[in-house]
Amino acid sequence: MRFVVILIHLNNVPQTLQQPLSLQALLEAQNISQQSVALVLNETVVPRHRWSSILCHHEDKIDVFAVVAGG
Amino acid sequence: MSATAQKRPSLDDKDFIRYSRQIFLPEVGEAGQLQLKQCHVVIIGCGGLGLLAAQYLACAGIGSITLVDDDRVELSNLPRQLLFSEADIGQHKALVAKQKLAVLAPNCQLFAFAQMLTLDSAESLLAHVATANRQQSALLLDCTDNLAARHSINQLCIEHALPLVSASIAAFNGQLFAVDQRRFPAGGCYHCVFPNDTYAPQNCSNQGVLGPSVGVMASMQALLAIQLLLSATAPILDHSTKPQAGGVEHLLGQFWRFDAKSLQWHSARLTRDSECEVCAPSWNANTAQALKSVHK
Repeated sequence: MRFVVILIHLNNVPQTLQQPLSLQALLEAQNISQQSVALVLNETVVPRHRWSSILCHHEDKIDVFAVVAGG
Repeated sequence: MSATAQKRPSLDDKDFIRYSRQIFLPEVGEAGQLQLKQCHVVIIGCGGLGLLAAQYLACAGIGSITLVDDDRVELSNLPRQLLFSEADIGQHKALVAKQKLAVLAPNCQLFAFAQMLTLDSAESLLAHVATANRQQSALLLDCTDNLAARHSINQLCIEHALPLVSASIAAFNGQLFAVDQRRFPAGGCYHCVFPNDTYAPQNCSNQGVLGPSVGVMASMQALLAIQLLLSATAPILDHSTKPQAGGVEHLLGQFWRFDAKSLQWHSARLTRDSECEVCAPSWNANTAQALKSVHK
């Protein structure tokens, strides 16, 4: 059986996924609380409700960052 | 509206000298300076962001500015809220800011409200911006320090079809973006990025902040606001619009993050959430109407 390795860049850190993961599953695997972050996939902000339906692809660049509200 | 306000605006000799460095820019010119004179900017929050943005905008020749904040000046504000001094401690920020800006920018008509902006009070508070907003010469700067206020302000901007320029900073992280339901509806709104159930772990009170990083964000916010006001008559955009050098499509629907440690900026494209609890329901009703009025 052939394994497909998916290489992604999460906050500029290369990571390999052994199986296709949704953006939501990726955050869960990283123990990141979804309610406190926004997510940019390949330079586009992805609305939170779509995270469960988008799968990570090879060479995806994903930035996850905390919401900042101070002023 | 008063007879004075109905007068055709013009620049006198002193204005030409005062604003000469702006007028020299082909992107501004005499027409642009006159355009700024007819603009009305609402600034919610007179802390580190709001004060500096207000100072830049008032001194740049924005015709009217409304300042809204129910906070009072505190000693711990002084390292980054540079318009205030120890003598102002205990006084309402919005009222002190109005008084000081009136000296710095005598051409600017200033309004100050020492109260919280709520959805209930917003109608009367923003009534005097309505005319400018209909003429596409109004916008709102969100300079508040908490997520609840930011959510209320976004909802307000959606309901009033008011362009929103939002900046925030805590610790070494800054965020900035502009959304406009009339000119670039595909960019969505604040709730599309940060829905109502968002938890904000960072604010200046519990994370700390350096004054200059607040200044960077406030300067960018003011710069973005001026450019959006100058380009208010540009055509409506969608994601198929090809970016042109210096075009407004680079300004609307972009989300910038600033890392104040490495001094690096990152930008990403905003997208409208088709299931957004705030802008999606009003899309057909309000935005379509606003689009019609823009097309007229």
